[in-house]
Amino acid sequence: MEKRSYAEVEKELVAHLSSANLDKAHLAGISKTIAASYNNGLQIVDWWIYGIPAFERIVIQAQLPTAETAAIQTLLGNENFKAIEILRKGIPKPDFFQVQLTVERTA
Amino acid sequence: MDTISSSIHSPASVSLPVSPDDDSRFDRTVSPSPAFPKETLQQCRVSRIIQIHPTLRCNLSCKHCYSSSAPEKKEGLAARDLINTLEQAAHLGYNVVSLSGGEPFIYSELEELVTASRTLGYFNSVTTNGMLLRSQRAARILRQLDLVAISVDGKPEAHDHMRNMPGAFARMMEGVAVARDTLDKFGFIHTLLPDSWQILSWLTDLAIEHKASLLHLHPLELSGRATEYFGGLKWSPVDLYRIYIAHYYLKTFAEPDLFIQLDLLHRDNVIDNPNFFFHQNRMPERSAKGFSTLFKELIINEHGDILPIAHGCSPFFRIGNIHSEEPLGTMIEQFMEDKLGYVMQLYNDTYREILADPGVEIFNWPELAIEKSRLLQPLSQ
Repeated sequence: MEKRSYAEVEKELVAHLSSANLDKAHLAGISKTIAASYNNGLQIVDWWIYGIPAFERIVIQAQLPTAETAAIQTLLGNENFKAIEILRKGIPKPDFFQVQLTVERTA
Repeated sequence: MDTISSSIHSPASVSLPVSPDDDSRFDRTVSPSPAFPKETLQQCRVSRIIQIHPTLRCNLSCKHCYSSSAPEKKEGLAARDLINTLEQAAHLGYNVVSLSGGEPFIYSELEELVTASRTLGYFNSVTTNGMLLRSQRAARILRQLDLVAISVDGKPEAHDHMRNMPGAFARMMEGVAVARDTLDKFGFIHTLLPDSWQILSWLTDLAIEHKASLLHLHPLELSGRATEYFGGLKWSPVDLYRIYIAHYYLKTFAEPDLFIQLDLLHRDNVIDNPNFFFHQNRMPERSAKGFSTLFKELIINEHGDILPIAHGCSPFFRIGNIHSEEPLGTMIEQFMEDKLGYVMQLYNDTYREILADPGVEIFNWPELAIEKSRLLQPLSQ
């Protein structure tokens, strides 16, 4: 993950999580997304927060072993994910999928 | 006093009994991901833990202490009885000793205990306030340890306030320097309060700055002295979501340099993993040989009672006592004969409550089981 100072991380994270318009339902949705990711064998390897001041779009980039292809079907059915991009990674032999999941807050 | 027992498992929760033929699924030292976080134990080693509270004596009287440890408490268990039990437990597959208390470094027989447990092949871990690590005695003890977790309650002022001692943070950091210079691995353990999400990034920074391998986040347990200071504390779902989200965000940022362990589960993780519980109503083999596969953590409390599940569970589930002349294997087999059905019922009931309440999505599973265990009545009088 892109290296940043913890002062920057703290500022960004606390600002987002304490935002007045980040309601319980949205926090619940993000938590459910995280749980679904780990349930499906993904390891979250990067995490971008877009939207000021609250979460409007979280893009989670994760690695999924190629042996876990069934998990992709499960992810596609997860209503929390607004977009899923899947790339095969690994040289010379693909050994994992790079999965980019977008969780988006609607207005 | 905090415990790091659950940190030796990954990713979450203290050990839970599982179906005997499903042990591989819960080999928690093996991550399903191709990028392994830094492990506190050798990879592929399934940790089976004896959590010991040899004394409730402590040099502090922390506000959040679930065991009401304090300086005026008496010395505790005799090392010879503990060593005898550990020797028998090793033959049953237990391989990790996790020492808590009280303050383990104030326990007069600590050196004898960890030297013996190391000889028996145990992975030795200790949870400590870090304030008593600078003596020559402490140096000898540290050389027998594989992991030390040092308690940190927040930024200096907050830490001193929680520890009821000005200067506690500074002294703790002196201990951190000793642990870092002496051990291959050390970690921090933090007692989560509802507003802890605001300092999780600061804690992560602290851990990485001081080259810790582990940051263990454990929710406040409302028992002992903690009920006096925090009895009115309420966890709102929003607080729990914030902690859960912040933890995973920081985990992404900090790994593989730092492994962050959170002792909270999401409801979906439990529901989607049916073998988490005995809810399938399959009766496992009732033998001492398979016991450590079912109960990956045993607790020896300050009275020498041997308990399953977690510290604070109902004495109804007591397996035996270290002072008993009865072999541990015999105590275990009797426990399985008499009490295993009740344990299954306890886990099934806890699981059903989780299913029935979709409004509670983030929780501390052992705390739910312990609360339920205290309410459990025998099926027949």
